[in-house]
Amino acid sequence: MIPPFILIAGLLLNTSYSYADDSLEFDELAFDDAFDSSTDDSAPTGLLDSFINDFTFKLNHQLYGQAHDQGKLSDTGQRSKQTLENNRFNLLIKYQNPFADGWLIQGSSQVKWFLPGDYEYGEHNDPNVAEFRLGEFLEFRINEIFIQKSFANDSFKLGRQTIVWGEVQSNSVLDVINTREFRDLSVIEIEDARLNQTMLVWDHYAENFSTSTFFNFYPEFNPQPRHDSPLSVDLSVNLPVSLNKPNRNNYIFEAGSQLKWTLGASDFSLMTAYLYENQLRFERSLAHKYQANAVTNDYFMLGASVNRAIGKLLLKLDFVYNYNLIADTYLNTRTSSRVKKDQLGASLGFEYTISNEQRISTSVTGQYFINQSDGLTEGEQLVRKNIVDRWRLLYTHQFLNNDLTYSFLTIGSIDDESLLTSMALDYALDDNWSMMTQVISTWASETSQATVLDEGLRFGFNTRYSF
Amino acid sequence: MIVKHILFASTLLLSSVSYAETGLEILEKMEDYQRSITNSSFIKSKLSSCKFGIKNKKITCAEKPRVKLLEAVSINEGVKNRDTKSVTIVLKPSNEKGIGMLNFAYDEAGKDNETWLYLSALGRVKRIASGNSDDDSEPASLFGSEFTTEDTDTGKLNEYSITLLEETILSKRPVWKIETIPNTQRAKKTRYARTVVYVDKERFVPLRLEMYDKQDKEIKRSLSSKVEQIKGVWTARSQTMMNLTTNRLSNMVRQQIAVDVDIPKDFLTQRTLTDVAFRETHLATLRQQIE
Repeated sequence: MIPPFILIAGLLLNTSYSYADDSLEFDELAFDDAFDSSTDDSAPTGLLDSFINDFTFKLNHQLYGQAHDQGKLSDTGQRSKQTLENNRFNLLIKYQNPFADGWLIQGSSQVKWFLPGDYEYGEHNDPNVAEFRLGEFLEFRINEIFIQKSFANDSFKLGRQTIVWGEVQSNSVLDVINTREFRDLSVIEIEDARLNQTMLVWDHYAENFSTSTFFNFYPEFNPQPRHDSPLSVDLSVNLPVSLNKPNRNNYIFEAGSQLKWTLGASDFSLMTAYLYENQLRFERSLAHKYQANAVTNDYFMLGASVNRAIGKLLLKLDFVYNYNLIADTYLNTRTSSRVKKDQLGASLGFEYTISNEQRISTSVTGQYFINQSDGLTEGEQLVRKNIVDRWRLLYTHQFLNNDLTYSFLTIGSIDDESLLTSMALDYALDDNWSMMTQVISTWASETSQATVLDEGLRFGFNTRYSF
Repeated sequence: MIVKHILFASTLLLSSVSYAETGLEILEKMEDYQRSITNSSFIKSKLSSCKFGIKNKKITCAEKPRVKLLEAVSINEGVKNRDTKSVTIVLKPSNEKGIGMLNFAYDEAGKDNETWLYLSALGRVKRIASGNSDDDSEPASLFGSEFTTEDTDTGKLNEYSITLLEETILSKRPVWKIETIPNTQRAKKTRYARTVVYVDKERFVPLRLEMYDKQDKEIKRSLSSKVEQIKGVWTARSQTMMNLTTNRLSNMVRQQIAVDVDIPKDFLTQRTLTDVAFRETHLATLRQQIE
């Protein structure tokens, strides 16, 4: 009797050789329907079809939870307990319509339906700009809405949109135009957390270079963490204040410009801008004991970025000089620091394509206030004297002909003593359905700005359908 | 314009009869001939990928293929028009709609090709360090298919030792069977230790390619079919790439082809990836010229 493993091996060998066998023909009719114009489902056939064709829908259900009780904080009480945090449906709608020669209208919006167990379920959190609360369980947000007119060498975009500066992905000192909201720990990529702002953007294209100039009509600021969200801190324990919105009695705006060109195997850009710091500071109101007022700060930035492709390696460098940033100090706890300082910053990153299935990218960012002692009163010290650093590493490995993706992400800071790691498995069932499961662990020291996340261990599950 | 193509094709055919004696000359003519299809062209393609098996003694998809619809625009530039600039936009599936790739393929030996990708989620154009393959790894895949950047590249023929093996018959067509072996420099950048090409003697279309690794095992095979004349130039409208290691295949069907269309030079730039209004205005004009 022939041992089964020899039979199986024989069959496998036979099969593998059979494809190389010239006697086997390829079924040329297998893809013939692609030549049949009646099966061309890419071209709209009527007005309604054309209208629907301009939309893309992505529906997903998100389930995330904290796996165990985190330790106690010395000054603000309990961190997150073992609990379900996200249980919601999200519908992302994207609309893109080039309705006439040179014209485009584009928009995207999101509807969130909070289910029992979600921290937003039954809450009354303040909506952000372009965000609307529909009852206690529904939220509608306009992410992006702009109209564009393009000419031979120029293009103008007016409306809510994003601007991304810098080469280093998700960890660039130049990526500061748009505000961000890290409302949930399931959103750990800057791309997903970036908020749009109302701007006019003028792009000019010359033969060997291009410029992009923006004017932000209504600068916005990073929103505060949502009540009961993973990043929220219960201020009522020892700091009984409510946070007021920024004073807009005086008109504020932002503006900037970027010059880009390509030379050899590199892309270069230079940029300059007049901006407001995205992260607000607060100081106790002198008039109202239980209120804190927002402090806004305008500053100038000069930046440069370059990339260089060397075979499968892509090197990226961003550099910034910020003039007149507020530097936080330890002296006075009642008022926010008003010490203005200049800052140098740089982000260095690389991406390496290990194979068609494996990629790794890593980056490190450092920012440093120059002339540290200038302008400080006696005994006053900067909160961050060292280089404020942040590093990021992402490794992805695709299996099953790219249907299954494993990703490992870690983001951390030595200066801030914090670390986030995420492991995710993403499986595409077909062109429409996909599923993702994720484990996120977080660690932060007592002195870290992210101390509320210490000892975090979260599990998540996502089901997505796009059409 | 049609007359120009017929004249061009006739010239090629006549010259092949008279002078196509070495493998290098044949492949140069074949590449020039095929490159003329990509010059100032607008092509709408359907890219299907699946695991393959045997059914009714024929190799075919063993599962429902994953399908992408693509629109590609390309022009040739440089010395003897042998550099190709192309931009490809994904129309379907919906979760990949709008993804665009800009590729500059250079004929010059030693000059790496350049690729930029636009992902709407990133909100910006990203240079891709696809580089070249090496001894151990595959070159960059095109939109996750079995086609790689190396498979679709033309040019750099002087980096190969080329031998005309025989004249034979394939699929009832007279063909030249030609072997290409990379030189030492090129061998560092390719996974293929040897490639055998079957070139149609009358139409200068590569009907079949067999790619071998260093153990001389055939690892990939490309088959062309639906060979038709497009404005006087013979071309394969269906090309299938079989990966004999993973038993997966990808089929690229050129559904619609427009050749010698008027493409503004600034269309083959990064602007096309990001400026949708600009892109759609030009694509609308090109779609009207399609066959």
